[in-house]
Amino acid sequence: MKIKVESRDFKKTIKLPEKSTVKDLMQKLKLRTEDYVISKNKKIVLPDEKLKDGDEIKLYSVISGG
Amino acid sequence: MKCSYCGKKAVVNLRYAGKKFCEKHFIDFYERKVRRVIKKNNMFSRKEKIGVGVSGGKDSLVMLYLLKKMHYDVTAIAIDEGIKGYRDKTLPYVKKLCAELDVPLHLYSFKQEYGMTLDQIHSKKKTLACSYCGVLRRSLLNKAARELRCDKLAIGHNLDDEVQMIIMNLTRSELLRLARSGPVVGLVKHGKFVPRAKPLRECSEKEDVIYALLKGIEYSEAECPYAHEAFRSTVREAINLMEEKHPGVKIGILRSFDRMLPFLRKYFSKTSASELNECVECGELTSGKLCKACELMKNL
Repeated sequence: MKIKVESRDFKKTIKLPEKSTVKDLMQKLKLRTEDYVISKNKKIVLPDEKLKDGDEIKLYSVISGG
Repeated sequence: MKCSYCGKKAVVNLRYAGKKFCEKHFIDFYERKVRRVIKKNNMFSRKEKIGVGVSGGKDSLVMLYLLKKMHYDVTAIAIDEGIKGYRDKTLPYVKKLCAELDVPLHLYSFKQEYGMTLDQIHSKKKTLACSYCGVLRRSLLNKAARELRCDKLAIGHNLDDEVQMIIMNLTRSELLRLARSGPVVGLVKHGKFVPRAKPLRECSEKEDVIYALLKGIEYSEAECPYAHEAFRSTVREAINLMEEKHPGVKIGILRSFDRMLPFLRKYFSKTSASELNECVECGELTSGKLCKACELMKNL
């Protein structure tokens, strides 16, 4: 399945096996879940959230500002 | 995962609190926490005018939103340090929220106050942008709050900022700095000093992001190009690693510091370090003859 991912630093489409979770996606992106607040289709979700084809993920960095 | 309070789908898992929250119960939890911090530290009264330091980032805008929601008399103060490609991106968020909340906004700049932008300072002193910015910004915020006749100045320091500050000062043996910090900053009272209060100091930066998103508060995600202070980054990484392995470390450090603070303040209030004088150059407060801002500008 294909998942659209957007963050402050990038925008890309990631291929993942069926039944993958947000945690699997973050591992594939080599990012720590602790460093982000994650939304799926504009709703905040936890890392155990299951994904399906076409889902839109947005990553909000916890660290920002000065 | 389900909300610990209502069984609905959880969107937040706060391991240090041992609780999971749905959207509604997280908002309740967060707002209750900020109210409790304000109350237990006697931060503000309804009669006071509060200057709110705003940058356009998540912390300061959440703080402005909440203080306004709690019906305090607030006025926003923004400092334009003159960082091209950064501050010009964050200030529109400040202006937008102030307009939405009907809060007056007062803009001050390094260029106007010190005759130089931070970019210009950086071009002269390559490695010291953060040191200069911290001192000049703090001094200008105090001056602005005083000019605007504010009784208190609210700043958006979160739990992560506070814990990093505590550890950095401990490792550098900067005990006087620690004594001056705390929920309401200031060791002694002085007519020229506007006490700085930190209503978000028990909220982690992640909680601030979640609250902003749930409340639809738009903020800038931009990161300051100079914000790469090596020691702070090391401290942040170390504390985050400890928190990940042992949830509760951050709030534990803060609580321990709060219990030590009265002893530190009592100790330093008996020393000459607590004396405040007016700077011979600009009239702002200093423990010596020349304030830190004037000293730094002279060194350029």
